[in-house]
Amino acid sequence: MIRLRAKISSSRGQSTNISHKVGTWSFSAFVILLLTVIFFPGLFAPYDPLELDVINRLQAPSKAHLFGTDEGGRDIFSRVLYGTKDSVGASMVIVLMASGTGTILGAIAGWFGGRIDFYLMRMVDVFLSFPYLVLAMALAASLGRDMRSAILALILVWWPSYARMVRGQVLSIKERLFIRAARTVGASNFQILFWHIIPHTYRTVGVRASMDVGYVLISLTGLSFLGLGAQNPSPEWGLMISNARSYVLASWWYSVFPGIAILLVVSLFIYAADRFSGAER
Amino acid sequence: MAQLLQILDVNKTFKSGNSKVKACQEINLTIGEGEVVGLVGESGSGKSTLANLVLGLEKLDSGSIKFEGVELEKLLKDKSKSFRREVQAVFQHPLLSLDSRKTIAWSIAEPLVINKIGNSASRKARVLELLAAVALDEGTASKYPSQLSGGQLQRVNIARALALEPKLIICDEPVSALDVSVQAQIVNLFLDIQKRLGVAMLFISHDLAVVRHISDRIAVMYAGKIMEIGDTDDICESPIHPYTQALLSASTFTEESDEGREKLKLFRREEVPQKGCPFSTRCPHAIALCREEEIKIQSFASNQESSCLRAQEIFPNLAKK
Amino acid sequence: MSTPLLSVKNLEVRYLSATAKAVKGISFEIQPATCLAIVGESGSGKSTTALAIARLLENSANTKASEILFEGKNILNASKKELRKLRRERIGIVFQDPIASWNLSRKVGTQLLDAFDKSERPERREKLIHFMEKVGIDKAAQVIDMYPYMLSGGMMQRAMIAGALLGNPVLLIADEPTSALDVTVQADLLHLLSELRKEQGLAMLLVSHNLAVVSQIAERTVVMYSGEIVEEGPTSTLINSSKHPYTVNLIRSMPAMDQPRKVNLYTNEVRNASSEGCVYANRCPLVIPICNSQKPELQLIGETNVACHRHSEVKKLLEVSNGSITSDS
Repeated sequence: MIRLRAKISSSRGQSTNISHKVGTWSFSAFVILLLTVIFFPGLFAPYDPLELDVINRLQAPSKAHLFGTDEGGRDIFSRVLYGTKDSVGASMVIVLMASGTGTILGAIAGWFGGRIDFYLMRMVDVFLSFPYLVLAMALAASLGRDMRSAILALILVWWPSYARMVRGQVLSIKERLFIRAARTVGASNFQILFWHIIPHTYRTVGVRASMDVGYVLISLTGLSFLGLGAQNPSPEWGLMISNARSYVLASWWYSVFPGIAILLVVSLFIYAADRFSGAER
Repeated sequence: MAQLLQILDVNKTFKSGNSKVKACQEINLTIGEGEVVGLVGESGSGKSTLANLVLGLEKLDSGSIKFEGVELEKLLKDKSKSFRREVQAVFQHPLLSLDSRKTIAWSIAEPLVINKIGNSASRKARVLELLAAVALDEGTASKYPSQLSGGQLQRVNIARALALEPKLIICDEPVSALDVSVQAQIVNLFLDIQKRLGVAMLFISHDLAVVRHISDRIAVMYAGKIMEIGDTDDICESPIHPYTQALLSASTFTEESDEGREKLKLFRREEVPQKGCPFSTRCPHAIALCREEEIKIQSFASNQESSCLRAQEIFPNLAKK
Repeated sequence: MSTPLLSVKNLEVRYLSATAKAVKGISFEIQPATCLAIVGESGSGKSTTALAIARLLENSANTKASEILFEGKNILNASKKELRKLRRERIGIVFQDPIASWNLSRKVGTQLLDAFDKSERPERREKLIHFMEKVGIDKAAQVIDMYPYMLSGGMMQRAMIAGALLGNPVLLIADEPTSALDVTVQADLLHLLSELRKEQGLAMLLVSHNLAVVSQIAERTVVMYSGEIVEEGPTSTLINSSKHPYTVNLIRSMPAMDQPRKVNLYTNEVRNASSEGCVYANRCPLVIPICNSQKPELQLIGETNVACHRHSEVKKLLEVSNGSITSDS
């Protein structure tokens, strides 16, 4: 009937706190590992990802080739490791750019309101009214078929949802008392926006961003699979799966290992985001 | 006493959909240098709106507000932000007035940073000096708002308000969110600061007992209008307006009595009438005329001003000025 | 003395998130149709005590007690079903913050009638309108179909009280029912509560930080500090001849109309004190060595129970030193 809970839940137990900390630590360890692989794939990879070795083409997984080899005899394990940069690294860059742009534009729209808000949000509406993958494909295709245009296309498709989310938050943050207090000591719009308002959106944007790394990875590998992103001989995961299409029945390992890599990274990011948003409540 | 702040015929109406709320109607109030003026009223009486108007957080509909003789609008446009240095505020909710993601030191130093005063070393020293002035220890500087109690947080807000050495501090219900014993500490702090620095204050509260303790003069507001203004002792000992009398009986520490019960009727919230005296629906002295004629503030001998039409009928000895 | 309506013995509460106990073994009784007030500052454990008695802390705190007897039954052993029945029919509860206690998107009447079976609702609705009129809500029949956000804070709190009375409770637990409201509205609501109490033969547990509020309606008052009872007794005796320095502090720190103006109010500073002695040793102006080494027990002195080593001297000492200990910082 009446929300008694509000009073009680403020002093929730320690247990959630501890598991939240463990979760944060293991997620950070995972991200650090990914970053190391992205910047120094050579530390882990036994072979050069581009070196052809036609004699050993389409070898099944063995001690020499952990994940087997592809139609050029290249080591799939090494290619998956080197491909982390093009797949996960690029996804991270996309999310960083999209969330940054979205946050700033959304905060500006929410804070100033009026005409700025109206035009910015109509622009956001235009982007959000298309299915995002179709829009990304169209943009990537028209910008040229390479990795750079795929990244640009995905940034363009992704920022509007951040802008809308942040704008909504700013509308409530700007009514808070400490914003009024900041105005009474003479803070300018710029100072209020960057010192007080945007830092208060970090948490929700962070949760959203870590989830989006997963979704962007799927989209990016999807674009590459369709030939709109990375081009041969890049070891990008989506492209590898695309190449493996002709050998699916005879050489299962060729498509399965890049696929597992995608699955693993996507689910870990989404799981982490889920945990963060849970701990926040 | 030189006039520091002048509020002249100020009006402010809020519109939402079809309904209009007249938050401030023809408010006239002045604050002299180093003077503490108390503003008392119930929630919804427009006292916080008046504070926001003075702070330039809301735009007024008509009338004018002058600070040191200069129009507020002009001061706010002035790029040097001198007005923002000279008028500071302390709000009701100590926790909500501070940015939860910033340390106490950051929040206290913010006014200095914004107004480009000093370098980082001198600001640091100033923060410690201000913490000492409000009786907080140095360790507080590195803490976050969520780690402090309500009383400590209000001290932080006061330190922040003092950082720029203002001439006027607007205190909007600064103690009403605190425990009684903590309220006393904060009221004492305001008294000390006032004695030491001679800063002028507009002290807003719904509790006459608190306001009386700190103010030189008191203004009583009801439904957007000023009901009575006068020296604190006059207002508290010989109030002219029936509403002030009602407020007085609400904040005195009395045992239940028949007389007390009669007075309690005054506290029932009624709709504010569109015409005439806003208090006429609750007033025990109201006559038909009160509901017809627009009220006007009148000066009486003893420097008291009251808007009650029947003041002289109720108090036959009262002489007009 | 007749059998008490509620009797609490050695109540201890520790929040799961905290290491220290919020309530450290307190005992008290409420007689039928009387009002007991618990007074203290925030963090003294007064609200926790009220919530623990209503058993509303199940998921967030460990509650221990020798017994909590309500109408002769131990509520500590009550099942969830029994508790729900108890809260619906025997105990009414009113909370401090009128806005936070309502779901703003559901109608007033719907929310208050949720607890009752569908078949009972039409009848209860009539009763609710009756109670709402009683607590001073005009046009109750219309207000019942309004949303809470349309009402003022005072109105929301009145409606909450009406809802709490709906099940014909014998005990009303009110946790700071007026603190969030204007002075004038406070006075009216307090008056109303004491009227209702007389009319309905209702017992009340009133939690407040404000002794002035309490003095108007409570027969007996418990003063809590840092999770312990420091003084307990009939309200008027407690106020007029307090024997504990903390009670004196609470009374003197209130700004009153008959005090000299622009003179510092009575407060005292916080010091470090040992954990073995009296809980109030960290702020007490009358502290002597024994206060830091030995915990004073509650003992009956005249009409009140006091936990202070120097209870016999408090009145004299604090009056003599009135001027000298009034400095804050």
